[in-house]
Order: sequence, then C-alpha cells, then structure tokens
Amino acid sequence: MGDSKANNGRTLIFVICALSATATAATAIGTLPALWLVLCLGIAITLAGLGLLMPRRADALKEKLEQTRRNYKRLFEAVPCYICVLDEQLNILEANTLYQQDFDSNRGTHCYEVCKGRDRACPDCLVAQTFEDGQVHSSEERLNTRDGRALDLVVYSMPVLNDKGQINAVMEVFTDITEVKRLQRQLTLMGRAVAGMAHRIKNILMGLEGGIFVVNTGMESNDNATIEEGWEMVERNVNKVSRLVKDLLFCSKARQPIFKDNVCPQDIAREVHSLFAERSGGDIELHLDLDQEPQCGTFDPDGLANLLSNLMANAIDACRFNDQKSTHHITLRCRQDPQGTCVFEIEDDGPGIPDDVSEKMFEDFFSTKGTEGTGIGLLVVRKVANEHGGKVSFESKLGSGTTFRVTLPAVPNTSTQQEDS
Amino acid sequence: MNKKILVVDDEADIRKFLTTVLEKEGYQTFTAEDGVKALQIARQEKPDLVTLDLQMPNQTGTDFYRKLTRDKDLAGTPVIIISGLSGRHLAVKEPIAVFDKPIDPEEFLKAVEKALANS
Repeated sequence: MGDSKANNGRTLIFVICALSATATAATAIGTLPALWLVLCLGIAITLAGLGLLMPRRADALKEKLEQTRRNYKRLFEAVPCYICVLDEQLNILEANTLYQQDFDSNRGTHCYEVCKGRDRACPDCLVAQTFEDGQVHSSEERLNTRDGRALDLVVYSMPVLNDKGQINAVMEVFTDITEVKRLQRQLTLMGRAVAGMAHRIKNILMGLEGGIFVVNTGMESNDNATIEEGWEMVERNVNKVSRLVKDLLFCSKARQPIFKDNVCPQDIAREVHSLFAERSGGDIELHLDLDQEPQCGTFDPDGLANLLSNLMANAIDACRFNDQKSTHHITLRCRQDPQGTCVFEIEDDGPGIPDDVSEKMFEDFFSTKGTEGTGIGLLVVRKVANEHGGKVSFESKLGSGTTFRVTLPAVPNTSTQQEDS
Repeated sequence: MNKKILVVDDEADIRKFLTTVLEKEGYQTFTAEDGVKALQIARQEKPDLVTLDLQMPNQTGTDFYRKLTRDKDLAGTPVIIISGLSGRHLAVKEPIAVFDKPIDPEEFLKAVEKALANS
C-alpha cells in the first residue's frame, strides 16, 4: 500500500512539473507556433516520464499480487484441516499438503476415489448439494488414511464464487474430530460403568444387610449355625466391596506399583487359584497347572494378584453366563523360561468372544456384563502388565473358549512401559 | 397351610437374606438362581407369590415373568420385583410391588402380606 501511494505521488509531481515547465517556456517565447511547439514538447516529455514510471508500478503490483498469493497458499497449507477444491464433476482441482499426504491421489482424480476408494460419487454428496443450492453443507464422515488410520471427520462444503457471483468450484474442509469422538465414547462407557458400579454396590449392600439380618436371627434363637452362615455372608460381601475399591484404585494413575525381589509368580497363581476355588460353584472346575521348578523374579505381587483375579473372574463369568454347557473347566497356568520370563495363561471353555467384542475389549470401561460389569477389570490387567513391561494377548474361538496370556519379563523392563490412557 | 413363596435371584446371599426374612414369618420358601429353574419350580410347587430379580444369567427375570403370565396355571401369581436396575418399575407390566436393593425387611414383609391377602 505504501509503495503504491508513493508511486502515485511521484507521478503526479512529475506531470505537474513537466506541464508547468511547458507553460513557462511558452509564455517566455510568446508566439503561437512556438507555444504549440513547446506544448507538444512538454506533452512528449510528460508521456516519456510516465512511460519510465509505469513499469515500476506494474512490477510493484505484480509483486503485491504474488505476495498475496503466497500468503493465501501459506494459509491453505497451514490450516490443520484437509482442504480440497472440486469442480462439478468432483475432480480435485487443488488440495493442501495434509490432504495429499493422507489420502492417496494415485487412486484417481475424483474425491470419492481418493478419499473413499469408491468408483462413483457418494450418496448425499455434499459438494453436489452446494453446487445445486450455493449453501454450506456439513456431515460427519469416517475415512481411512493411506497408512490405515481411521479418522472421524466433520466435513464442510462451501461454494467458491467467481467475479460474477457464480459458483465455479466447491471447497471441502475436513476437520479431524477423532479425539473428540474417542472422549465422547469414553464418557458414554464411563456413564455405563458408573451405572454398573452402582448396581454392583447395591447388590453388595443387600448381601451385607442380609448377613447382618441372618446373624441377628441366629442370635435371637441361639442358633450358632445360622450365626455362622450370616457372618460368612458379611465376610463375603466385605471382600466384594474391598475388591471393587481395589480395582478402582488400581485404575487410577496415582497408584504406583511396588516391585519386590524374589517374588515367585507360582505362589501368586496358587493364591489366586485357592481364592476362586472356594468361590466357584460345582458346575465350574478350576485347575492349576504349574512348572516343576519355580523361579523368582522382580514383580509387583499385589498387582499380579489383582491381574490374575480379574482374568479368573472374567473366565468364571464367561462360563457362568454360558447356557450352552452345564459344566465348564478353567485352567490357570504359569510357565517360566530359563531367563525367568513368566507367562500366565487363563484358559476357559466358555462361549468364546465374538469379533465385535474382541475389538473393543481393551477400551476403557467396556463391559459385556450389562449392569453387572464395571468395565475396569481388563484395564487393571493391562495397567499391571504395562507396569511390568509385559504384554497381554488372547485367543478365542466361538463355542470353544478363550485363553488370555500375560507375558512378563523376570525383571520389569520399564523402558517398554507404555503410557496408560 | 403355610403360604409358599418362590425367591428368584442369582446372588446366593440375597436368596439367603430373603428366605431368612420370610421363614421367620412362617412362610415356606423355595429358591431359584435363574429364570429356567424358577419356571420349573413354579410349575412344580405353584407358589402363592414370587420375588423376582430382573437381571440374571440364563434367562432374565423379565423372560421368566413373561412365561409365568402365559402359563394358565400360574398366570395369576403375584410378583414382587426386587432389583437395583434403574428401570425396574417399567420392566414388567403388573408387579404387586417394586423394591430397590437393598430392601427394608419390614417394608418388604408388609408388601408380601398385602399381596397374599389380595390373592
């Protein structure tokens, strides 16, 4: 802007000077032919002067245009969104680098080919709607990037108008809301988990209340057997509540693992097995399968006991809720290699895990047990395994059963610990 | 003859609680841990009243209720719902009473007496 004003000013001064000089010379000479001659000379000088100045002004304007273009280009590239400009046939006329990086332009020239790998336009195409009514349209889409990431996106289509106000292209802007969607899902799951927890706590409370009632009834009639039965109910339900609280604490980031040397994983497996052997009914048989020679290592014994308890409880529930069979078997296995790497396996012959469930299983607060489940069991399992630098995997076959496998190094490999979300 | 009450709940401790409360008042009790067994016992014993948990493995309380009300011999049996579910009052059509867990034994007994007096 400053350059342009200065140029205009200089041009004006030059023209005024040239015309003034011409008029002065004509007045001085005083004759008509001389006046004409001097006037023509003056005009010629003025035009020559303007001729000298015009290219400089054009260069400045050109530079300014280039600069504006570069600025818009930078803006086009800097926006953290996918942007593309499309013609009416849905050919991509222009796309920003992010778009080109994440979507494979080798798949074709049309947006539906590049973004979705489709061979024809999408039903309810936003761009077509914008071409038709000139309005901004939006929708939510789930697209896969060329490196296989699934993205949740909000897509806006808006008209690009020419000087006459006609639509000559449509711009599509895609904003990545994958993280927002993940949080939304997590909140939904958390809401469900809270409802599940409330239901579970109500059941425990009723068990406790029942225990107290049974103890009191036994005391009224001096019936020791009833008192004992009531007291066992109280103990069982206090254990349930303490387990629930423990699970919640294990899930919190604040809880740090307490690693101890000379911990024998077999002892923990034995402890957990005996805990559940008492609990499980006659229709579920629990087996313990251990190596001949136990080895000790550096583990967090409380963490491991909690990990195994959760996997055992899940296996028991899977069998308990399975009405295809009347009896079930669950095996808790512990194997160690000479280096001390420990592999725990919990194998059940329950109904197996359907594919749609296995995909979501390690999501926060995911549960298939309706209001019975809190969805924190597998979070505890994953957290404890991560704290040991270990990993959790599973194999499952519908109708045959599931095996969960936890592999832990003898000494926790903290460098491979993953950040728990 | 003592009135017969069938207690249906998948939690053993809750079954024990309810049967103790009821037996103390002289009722004869039967228990079932799921809907399938509950229906077998109901057909066999023809209880005067059923207390029913809604969420159980191996056929839910709602499924059991549906089958109970379609059985010509059992259709009129009064049912008291005892559940911690938030939608418990909506789950079945005409329960005699609905209780949230944990229950108040006195309130529960009042509802039982009332239901048996009306049946």
